[in-house]
Amino acid sequence: MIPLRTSHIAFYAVIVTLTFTIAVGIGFWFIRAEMLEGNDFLLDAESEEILARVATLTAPLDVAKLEVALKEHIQNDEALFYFQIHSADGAIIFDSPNLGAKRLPDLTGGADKRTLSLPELGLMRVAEYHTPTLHLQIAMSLRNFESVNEVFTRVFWLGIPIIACLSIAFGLVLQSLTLRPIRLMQATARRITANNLNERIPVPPRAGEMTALAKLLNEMMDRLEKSFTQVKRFTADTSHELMTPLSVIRLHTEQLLNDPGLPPQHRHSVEEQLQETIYLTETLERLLTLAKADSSVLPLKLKSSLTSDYISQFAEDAKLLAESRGLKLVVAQNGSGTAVFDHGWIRQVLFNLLSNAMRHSPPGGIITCHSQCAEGRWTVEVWDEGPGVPPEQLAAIFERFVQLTPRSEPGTGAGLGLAICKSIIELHKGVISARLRTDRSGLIVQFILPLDAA
Amino acid sequence: MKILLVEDDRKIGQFVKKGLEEVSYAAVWVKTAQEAREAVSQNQFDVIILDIGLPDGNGLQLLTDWREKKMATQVLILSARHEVDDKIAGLNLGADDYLTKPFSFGELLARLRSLVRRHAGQKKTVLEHRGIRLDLLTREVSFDHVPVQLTQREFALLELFLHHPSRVLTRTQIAEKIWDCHFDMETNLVDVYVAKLRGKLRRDHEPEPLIQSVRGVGYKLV
Repeated sequence: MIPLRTSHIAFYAVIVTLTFTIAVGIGFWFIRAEMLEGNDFLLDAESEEILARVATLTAPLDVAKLEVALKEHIQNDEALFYFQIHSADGAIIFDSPNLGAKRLPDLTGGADKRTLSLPELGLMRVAEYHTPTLHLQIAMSLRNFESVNEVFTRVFWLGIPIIACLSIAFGLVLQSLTLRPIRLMQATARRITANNLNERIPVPPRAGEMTALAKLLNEMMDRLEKSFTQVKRFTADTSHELMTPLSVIRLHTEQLLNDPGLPPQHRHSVEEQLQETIYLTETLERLLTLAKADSSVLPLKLKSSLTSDYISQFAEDAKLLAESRGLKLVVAQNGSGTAVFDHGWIRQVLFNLLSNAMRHSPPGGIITCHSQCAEGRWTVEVWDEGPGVPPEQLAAIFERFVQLTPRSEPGTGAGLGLAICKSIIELHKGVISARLRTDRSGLIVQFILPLDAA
Repeated sequence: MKILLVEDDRKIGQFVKKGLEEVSYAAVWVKTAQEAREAVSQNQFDVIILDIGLPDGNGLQLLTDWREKKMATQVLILSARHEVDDKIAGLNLGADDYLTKPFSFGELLARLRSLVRRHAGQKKTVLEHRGIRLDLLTREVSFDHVPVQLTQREFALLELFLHHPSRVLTRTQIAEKIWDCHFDMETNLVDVYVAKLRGKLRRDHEPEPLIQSVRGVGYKLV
């Protein structure tokens, strides 16, 4: 794609050059017409003088008298004009000495003035005047026309490249001036993320549409900032208001449990109370995380790294975890690539998928983790050998508070784990999905993240 | 040990102050940022427990001011997780540790102790404890003069324990240090690694493991 800049400047240069060409053409045409008119006026004036001098002569013309009548005048004007006089029957009876052996052609066809290119004489304006006794032909050289022609041609061919270059240069300057506010807008827009929403596009003064556009964008940013701030304040307030009383409950419950005087029949209830407090806290934290992720105010610490290194590191921990539960973990990697992601959050996703798989695996089951890099995408899959889920529920497992098995123990989550995974993956501009195994019972959860193109 | 507790919630403040005094720590409890400023200018504390949401200002602002004045006292931030954008924000401002509400008192105590410990500890390149020898430079570990092979994670875990001998390290503390994880991983990864490490540091004639469980809190190297 040709950038707007280049195409605009090219267009501008073509227009300017074309205008120049047309202006030179029109100028040339006008000057030419003006010169011709001047010439014709001179020819007419000259003819009047000559005709006045021969008006007394009558047919048949006496050539000797004619020569006497015209000699002095023609000598004076020979530098400018050529003369040739025919008798009424067409024979040439007189010509000016400067013609020598050359002849002026007859103007047939009615026109009394014509521009002709004559052999040896060059470009001439020839005029013909008729009286009952004679035909007078006067001619003027148009040599000065040719020099004007030449000047115009030179101006034209030299001018075009100069004008083209100048117009490109002016175009660049003009455009950079016009586009400056747009470039400022771009730079600002690129800088603005959820974390510095208070930045605004500089409003260019007196720039018409640009000013209006910048103001409009800034107003949009105001509205966005307001809603972002609301989410941030909501999560902060909720956190503070709920976590503080939860702290008090937890501190007292733990104190009770540490008391050796606690009657055994109450100990169980108090332990239950502590577990539920912890569970409530976790659920609340997840909900707040989701609220932040939904409105993109969850800060991501993006780092570029090799997928194979990252998966290998995860595999080390994951294998140990699986072994501790009497399960086997197989990690397979196909290719490697560089991806930009938040290591902490993606590890959160991986551990979440792993713990789901472990929870649903039969004793001695095999969990497979497959990482593949191809066509600019990093695909990670976790396969288990559990019972899977009904096919119509495959999409629903990523929704909030959806739990297909009853909550057995605190800490297994309230059905928010996969919802958080989905939010985290989507914050990374990736996709997460689930499908059933075809070779046996079991679930496959897959997420795809874009690889770094560079 | 003298501790300043900056906490606006009356119930939490009371509980923590009482708990600290029960384990013989001197605790001063203030409820506002203004009182905290005054207390710090008049006394020398070993640790400050700082709540972020204070009625007359943000605890993080208080911390920033203190660090600008080159106050070196250890600060443990106490707040609900989503109160600040990221707990790293607190640590970047110069906090030494961070505990999220709701917390258990055992966890708070363990962290306070390791803070003071960390403060006093010098930089050593060889850590030794009851027959365990860990060389930070060569990354070699031996147990009763027999070389022990440890994975990277096991090495980091043992190093953490050796830096805090006889102190309780909580599970979240360990997870934060070794996995840089600020969120529960929904797994018992810490327990699994401690079990592995125990297996490699076992004496046949000793029934008690060197790394002991502390019920409901975490582990400690004895």
